[in-house]
Amino acid sequence: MAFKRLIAFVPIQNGQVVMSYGYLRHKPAGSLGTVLQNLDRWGIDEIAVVDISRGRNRPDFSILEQIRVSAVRTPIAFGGGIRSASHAIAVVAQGCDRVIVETLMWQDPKEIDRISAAIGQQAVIGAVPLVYGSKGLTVAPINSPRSETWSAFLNHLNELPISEIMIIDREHEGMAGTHKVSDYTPINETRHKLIWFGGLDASQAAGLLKRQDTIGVAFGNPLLAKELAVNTHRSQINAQTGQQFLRKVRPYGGK
Amino acid sequence: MAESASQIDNADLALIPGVGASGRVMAQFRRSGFDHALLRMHARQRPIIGICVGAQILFGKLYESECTGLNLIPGEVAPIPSGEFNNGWSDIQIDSTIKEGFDEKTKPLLLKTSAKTFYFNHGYQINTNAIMQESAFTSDKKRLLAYFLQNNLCGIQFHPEKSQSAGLTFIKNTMKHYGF
Repeated sequence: MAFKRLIAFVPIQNGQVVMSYGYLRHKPAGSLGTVLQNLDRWGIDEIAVVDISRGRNRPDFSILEQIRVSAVRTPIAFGGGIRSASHAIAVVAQGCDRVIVETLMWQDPKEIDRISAAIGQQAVIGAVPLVYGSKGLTVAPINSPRSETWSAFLNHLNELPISEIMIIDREHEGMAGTHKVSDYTPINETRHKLIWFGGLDASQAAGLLKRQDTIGVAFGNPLLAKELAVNTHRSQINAQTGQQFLRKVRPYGGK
Repeated sequence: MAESASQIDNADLALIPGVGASGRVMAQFRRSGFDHALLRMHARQRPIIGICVGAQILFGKLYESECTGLNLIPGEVAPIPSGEFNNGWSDIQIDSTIKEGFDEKTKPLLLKTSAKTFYFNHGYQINTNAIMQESAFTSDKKRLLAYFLQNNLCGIQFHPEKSQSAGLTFIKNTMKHYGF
């Protein structure tokens, strides 16, 4: 059986793990090494470490060094400041399995071709922050004033050599149970599989995992704050879907 | 980490890890002479373990970048049908078909654990009719080759190093199988 994924979203701001609320307010949440080792022991399916510091044009190598030293045995995707294929190669060389690109999708999509040729398309995830307002569903990059409608952006998105899209409900990020943007995105609208992040609770995540175009759901604050929250979320989601979309895991590597 | 072909010539075992794209890997191997060093290692019958793209380049035709791999085993690496990716955790099961020269009652050499769920991340699949000592496929309907063992060659399509406790056990079994 192939399973869908429960992903931990670990935001970093100015070198520190934070709990994030709508990308506007942040609260320190411990050292990256400790957070990664906890998530690894609790049996999360994948960890997305994303540097949300503003104005970054290269990856923060001190963060990558912490990832390398943590030596976790869980897949890690890294995002933040990746602007070139050489950046992506450096990220993978530090023990990350995949890269998450956002700004490049607007600024230099050709560079994504080069990243894909270097590390493989399977290792590239595109992150798309969305907000819903008077103009409908709008793409709203976190570090750029640019915005355009989701429908206008879709053709461009479908051409990119990436393997999955992480759709971020930007306004509701950090507030469990408030997720909205998936209500306005029809199933199979993109050719890529989707990961949903921002404002989810277990019930909403269960509903999204039933979608054919969905490969994963990501949680930030709820998984960082509480011992074994990974296990609780996994059980709740599987119970609510009525199917085993997520693999069963015994935390701490138990048999 | 080997930095020169001569280091491979002096090694007892080679491990070719993923993550990567096969075209770039082969180009670097050819530039550095690693390709010939690995062929010499194979001639010495020393273990060569490939993970993900490292497993794929043990074969001949590589569709990802329209190039040729090390060609140590007959077969090709082609896109997973309908352009899908196999990203995430999948159950695997041992291939139970009887292979000429191998005993179907032989206990698994590498997949000895009850935990059989591993992390995959690839868009290309290995297609081969080569006879293996042991092989396993994903248990879903795609039935993708998950790993194979053929004497000194071992190819692992999933990432045991990122498959938590199940992966660690798999790595230990593999190293033990080769006497390490």
